[in-house]
Amino acid sequence: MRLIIIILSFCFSMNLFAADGSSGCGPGWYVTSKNSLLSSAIRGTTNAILVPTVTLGMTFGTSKCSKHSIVKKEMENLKYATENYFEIAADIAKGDGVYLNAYSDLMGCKDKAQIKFKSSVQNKFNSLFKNLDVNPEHLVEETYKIILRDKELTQSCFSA
Amino acid sequence: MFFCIIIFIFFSQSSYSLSKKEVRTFSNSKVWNNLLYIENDKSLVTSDRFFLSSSQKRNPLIELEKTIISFREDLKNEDGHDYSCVFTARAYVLYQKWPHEFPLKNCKQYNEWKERLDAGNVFLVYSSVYPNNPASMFGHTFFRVDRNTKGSGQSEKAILGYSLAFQARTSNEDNPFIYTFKGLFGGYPAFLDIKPHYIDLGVYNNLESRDIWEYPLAFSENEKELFLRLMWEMSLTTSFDYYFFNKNCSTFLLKALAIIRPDLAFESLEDIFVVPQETLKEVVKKFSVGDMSFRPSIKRKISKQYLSLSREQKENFSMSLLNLEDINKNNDVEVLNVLVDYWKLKNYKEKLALNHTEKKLMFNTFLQRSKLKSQNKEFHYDHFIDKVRPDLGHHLSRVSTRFGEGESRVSYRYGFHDFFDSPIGYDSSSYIRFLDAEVSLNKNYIDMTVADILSLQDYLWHLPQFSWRGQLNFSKRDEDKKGSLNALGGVSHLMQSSQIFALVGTSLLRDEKMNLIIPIANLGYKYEFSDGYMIVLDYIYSSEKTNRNYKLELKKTLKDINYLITVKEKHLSSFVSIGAELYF
Repeated sequence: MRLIIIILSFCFSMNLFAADGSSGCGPGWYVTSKNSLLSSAIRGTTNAILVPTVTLGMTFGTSKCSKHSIVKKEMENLKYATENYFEIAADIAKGDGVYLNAYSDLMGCKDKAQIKFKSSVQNKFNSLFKNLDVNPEHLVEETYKIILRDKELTQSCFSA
Repeated sequence: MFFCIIIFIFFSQSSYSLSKKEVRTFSNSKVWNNLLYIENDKSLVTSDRFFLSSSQKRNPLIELEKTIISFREDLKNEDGHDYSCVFTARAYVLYQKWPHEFPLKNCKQYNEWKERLDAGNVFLVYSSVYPNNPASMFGHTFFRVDRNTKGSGQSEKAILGYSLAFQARTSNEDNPFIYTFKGLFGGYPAFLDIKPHYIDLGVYNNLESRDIWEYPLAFSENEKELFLRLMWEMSLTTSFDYYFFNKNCSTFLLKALAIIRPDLAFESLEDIFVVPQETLKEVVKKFSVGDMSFRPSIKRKISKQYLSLSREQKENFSMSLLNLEDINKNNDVEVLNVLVDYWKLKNYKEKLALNHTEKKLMFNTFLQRSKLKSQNKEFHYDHFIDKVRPDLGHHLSRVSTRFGEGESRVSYRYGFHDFFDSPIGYDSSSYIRFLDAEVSLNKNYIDMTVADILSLQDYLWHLPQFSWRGQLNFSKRDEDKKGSLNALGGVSHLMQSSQIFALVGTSLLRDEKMNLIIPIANLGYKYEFSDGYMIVLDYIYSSEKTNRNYKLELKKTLKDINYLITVKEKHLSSFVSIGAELYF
């Protein structure tokens, strides 16, 4: 367990000190600039074939942690946290919601563990979202801390 | 022994080899022509990498022969990938046709992609109309796949799944005129775009406040495999020229479905304008779909919650909206939930650039809500869904006839849905009338509306949203010819059974004697009684008397036919009539 915490902490701190200091996932849709007349229906697109690869592989790209199996598993979580930052924040504030459920699913917390997970993150809203400055790495890191500090959650969420 | 093996191989090969006739026949088949996107003897595909035959000699037969050779001889493309692993849909279709001749290959990259996509059920998604943008004015359709192994419920599986949409690759450097020109005349290439569905939800549901409607497509296992292979093949090889009107997102979506079920013929592809909602209706009618699901826009959610509050709660909302102290002592979960969503919307609208005070109010609202453990109230949209689900809407075009005061008039409207239409199947925030002409059979009277776009955003005190209207109209009465271009803005409000709007603006008026720019005001009201009866008024007041006009209608609306009594005045000439309208 300590090994997991050490690895995660190391990886997250590496990422926090990434050169540009921004999210490893790139900006979310909510800050992506676009031509005001440009429809989302016809907005410039990325190369489709890259997308699933990018989706799963763009985070932690420059981090030395990128090859570690635990971190690889978390790439999708971080991408999800970035793109849905305020949806997750709102759901955590309310203690429930589909974006929080999906976040919990990505963290591996299902069924009974999901109920406890939602309650635990709601209790820690203040430490998860410091003034709601967009910081998905911090959100994911703090979420892991919440899980890892709770024996029941750790067992349930990391059992798979 | 060796001789026996040679004989066996010889017979095996000869028994599986294809005759020229078989190949020729298959090259004329629907499935093969659909796979090549042939329309009027020519493929719609513009990317060279889609074709194995040279551009000088290109037809379905030659392309089939080249495909067969490439697959049989394991030829590779310039990137070193087997053609049969690039053209995975072609490979699957040939395998289904001649399984012994074209056994499926183990394609490593495709398999990895498929594993990552982790596709469960496939859905056709309709994102409702967005009148603030010309290209989304008529809605948008795309595919989505559920996440198979992740997501504890249907909604979670949806959020964690992927969208697959046909979209134009535009340039941010293009100004609106170039953008419109290129969009109308095929200046942008269209590609298949695959991305996590939550990104689309963020854009459509939150940024543009559009409702999302999802229809599961009942694919068999074979159809689903072909669908996935097709998506892979398209993403690697295929691009089209994108035309807003008739080669758009919905066109290519139908083309993909026609590959999966070649026997289906989609009539909406023949229209001069391929309208997403029309294509959705046709897919629902011809393709077996499961239970539709609905995901309301953020504005709709806020509006629903806010309207459910009591007077005291609304006052509480107002105070907590502006005052930190009020937030910090607010213990009303229902009010705080609306506030949380309100701040979320405001934050998105401001592109995260809230000022310091607003940011603090937002954070404290979220924090205060997190301290309360009460369960959230659930909101249901059943009544709204039953009324507005897009597959129930009337047909695109309309003809009507009216009789009264010794005069008969006939009219034809190309599309789509105006303030006077049956509300079933359409959202009450957007009314678009396009190419609407009325002619008198007895008198010298012609009225032609080229376009009339009415965007009605429900105005709530704390969520001020504005409505607007643009109209271009020409008319002729006796020798009096007029043209008018109106631009108006204002407010509107939607109630349980009624809707009202009030707009002011200017009219550029032109007749044979003068050009005028004059102020105008527009009042609209609609009340829906039970059983499809409704009364509708649209009144435009102008300082120029001849530019004033109104229409008052009492009508009984059915799905594809309306009966009506109309009082109409235009050019200071009134016309009282009874009539009928037929959608087709």
